[in-house]
Amino acid sequence: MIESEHKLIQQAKQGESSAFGVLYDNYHEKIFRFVYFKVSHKEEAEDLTHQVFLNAWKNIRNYKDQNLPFSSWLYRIAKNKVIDYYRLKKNNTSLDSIKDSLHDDYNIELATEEILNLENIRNAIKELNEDQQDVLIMRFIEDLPIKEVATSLGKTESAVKLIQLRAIKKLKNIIKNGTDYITA
Amino acid sequence: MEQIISQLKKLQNIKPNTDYKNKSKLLILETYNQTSFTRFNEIFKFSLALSLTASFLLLIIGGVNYLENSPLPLTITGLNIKTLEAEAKNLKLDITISEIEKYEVNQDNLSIALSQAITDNPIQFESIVLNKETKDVNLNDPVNKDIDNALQKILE
Repeated sequence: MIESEHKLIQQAKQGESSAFGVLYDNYHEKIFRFVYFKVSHKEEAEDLTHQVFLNAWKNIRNYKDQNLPFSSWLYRIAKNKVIDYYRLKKNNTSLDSIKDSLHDDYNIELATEEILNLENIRNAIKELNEDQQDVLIMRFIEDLPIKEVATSLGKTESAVKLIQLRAIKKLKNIIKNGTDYITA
Repeated sequence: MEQIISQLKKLQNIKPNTDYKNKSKLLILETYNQTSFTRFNEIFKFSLALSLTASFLLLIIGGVNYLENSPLPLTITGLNIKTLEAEAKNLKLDITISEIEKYEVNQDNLSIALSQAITDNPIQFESIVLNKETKDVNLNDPVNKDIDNALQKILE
């Protein structure tokens, strides 16, 4: 953990909202993307991300600084929020019905073909199991080091490496063989 | 594999809406004051309830202790038969002693008054007595012993 972040956390623990504001700015996008790829719905992702940071702010006094990155704590809260979200949604909504198009959500300035590719990847990620999803998002979308991913998911570094290897293989197979599924 | 990883990295372009991000941040940071106020309120309520309960308990304990040790009539001794008997005995004794004292004082006063009357002015005494006796005497009753006695005293 960098020194400035440690200082910000201490200030936030003492109730300085501006310090927590800086932490919010640093991590909001990462947490939002993590949640977004898990729920595939912009508004739901926004709500959940809001809840993650609200939860973090309310409980910052309980945060134990163990030389671990602050993001690990945030990812853990986010993961629990997503689990709760699916637990509640399970009885009410089909997951397919809440999938949004990347293009509709974000107007990424890319060629249509590329957007389709990205959407295929996003949908393929949904086919992975929970651990594989988490590792892929954290490692390759958020560029987190293996150590931080391991801390966030409560796993050993070797376990994360193994999950990562299996996730990429599975993703490759899904994209290669699952064109029918993706375009359906 | 490299291709997939590079594709995954492109997903970094997905970013939250800036308006949403700012509003969410403001809302979250505003909750601090509410939270701290709520906590203060809860702590205040709890300590108030605690202090009231403690005061009430102290009042009860203190009251009971006072009633047990107080010599005032608030003590319910009437329920204790032994105490009542002891009180009754003391009361009789008190009355007897006070009566004796009263008799003694009266006797002393009487003897002093008589001796003074005899030594100081017997003539005056005699005339006063006579006048008084004359008024009180019933002359119609010839067998009045009091009159006889009074006359006897004068003659002596």
